[in-house]
Amino acid sequence: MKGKAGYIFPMILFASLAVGLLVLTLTQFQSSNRLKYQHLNDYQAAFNIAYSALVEVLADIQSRQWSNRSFKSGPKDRSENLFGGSYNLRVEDHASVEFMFNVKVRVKFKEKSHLFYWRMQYNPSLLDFTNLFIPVYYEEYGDPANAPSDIDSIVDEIIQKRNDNLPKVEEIADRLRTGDTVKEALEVVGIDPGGVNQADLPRPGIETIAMPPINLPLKPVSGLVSAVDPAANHVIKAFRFGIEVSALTPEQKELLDALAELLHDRPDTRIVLRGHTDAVGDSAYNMQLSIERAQSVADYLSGEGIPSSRMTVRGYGETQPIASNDTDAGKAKNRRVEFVLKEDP
Amino acid sequence: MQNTGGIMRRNAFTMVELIVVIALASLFSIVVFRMFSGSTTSQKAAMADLSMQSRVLTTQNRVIRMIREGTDFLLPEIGEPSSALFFADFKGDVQVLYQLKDAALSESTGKELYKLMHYRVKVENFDIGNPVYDPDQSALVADHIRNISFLVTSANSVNVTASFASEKRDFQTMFEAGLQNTGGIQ
Repeated sequence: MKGKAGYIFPMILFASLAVGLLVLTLTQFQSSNRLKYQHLNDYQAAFNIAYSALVEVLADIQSRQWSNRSFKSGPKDRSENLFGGSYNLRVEDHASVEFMFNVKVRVKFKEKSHLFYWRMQYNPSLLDFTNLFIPVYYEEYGDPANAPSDIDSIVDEIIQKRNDNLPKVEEIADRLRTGDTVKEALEVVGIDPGGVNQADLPRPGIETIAMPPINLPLKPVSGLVSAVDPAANHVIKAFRFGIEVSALTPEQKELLDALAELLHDRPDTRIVLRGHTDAVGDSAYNMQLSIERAQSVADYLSGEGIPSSRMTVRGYGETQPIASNDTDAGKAKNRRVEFVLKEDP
Repeated sequence: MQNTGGIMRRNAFTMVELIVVIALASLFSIVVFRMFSGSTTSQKAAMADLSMQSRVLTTQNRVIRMIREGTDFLLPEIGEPSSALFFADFKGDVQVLYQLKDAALSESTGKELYKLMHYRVKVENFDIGNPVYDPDQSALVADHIRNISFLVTSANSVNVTASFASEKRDFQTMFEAGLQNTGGIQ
């Protein structure tokens, strides 16, 4: 027994050493990858914190109204912990422009600091904001309250430069959009399109919605008339009106435009306008209404350049129904103006 | 004296003991080595996957960060997919993301692969009649790219679909990136 105990110890030593090394290698491998991911996402997390802080500022302005904003009397600072990091925020009015303000957020996340800067403009009529995000200041900065005082003027310069560049950018944009391929677009900015993926692929046209042709139920008068022998001395077209109404609707006017065109084309044609009503109400009143209906058509045609000498207006009141006055549908048919075209030889 | 004799016997290993220990140890190390080498093959594959995943994530973060600087998309237009993206940024410069063929990687992997390139047009000194490429303004964003498609979905957001490929595996990512700048500011 004593002899065997002699090699059990070195064996155990060796085995535990091997297992230990293996475990160590695996943990190192895992932790190095985890670190890699964390590093990648740190900036994103910092931005999320800053953006959340900004949104809170905006919500605060919205709820209090601009005139009661918290930073009205001077710069407002705030520090808080959020999403596993912390931020210091300073919001202040722009030095000279009304409704403009700066939001500076210093975010500390996992021992790294980022300073985010937003130049915001409140639009009082839309109750909305426009902003310019200046993502330049990634360097280490302390509390934004102690941020370099020239940071605002640097931002002013950037905005000025952007405004100066704007016409040129628009010109570039126009050139880019007129190109048919990525190749042409790259050439606009001086990039050699050789070896570029899908450079020659034609740009897909923006899809447009094909509208079906408009099929108005309106029958063109000229079509009706030309189908009739010009020697025939009259064509009647029903032209209905609502109860008590003699005014023309847009659809009726469109039909009359076509009629006026027809009359212009046939200068020898004269037209008789015959007004009718349904049997509702006083017959004397209906006689007057029928004349008014025919007259409103004549006035319109006259406005379209048809001389009144070529038009005759007549009212027949309720005396010539074309349908039963006992039903609404029949009455609607009776409220009408007929056109009688007379082709002089 | 008894003790001394005992110690002397315990301190020394016999030749047989040593041979047995060495034999067992080498047997054990062979077993461990075989286990380890078996796991390294799968580790290598896992490592390759992880590095591709981290490449995809890095690319995504970089692109989001670049687009965040933008103020307006210039090309493609809304609803139009494109292999390149042109946008104006907060400084009034024009930034371009496009894919350039990676000849070396394409050859070694046997797949057609591209590099995602970033180019900044310094508008201030830019002559539209005579555009000159400035290599200093060009940077590599990502490699191992099979294809990237930019689809501008609204005035300030773009949908990016990117596929990556290594020798053995393909990866795909799709994400939305938004301009941080809305509206004009004067």
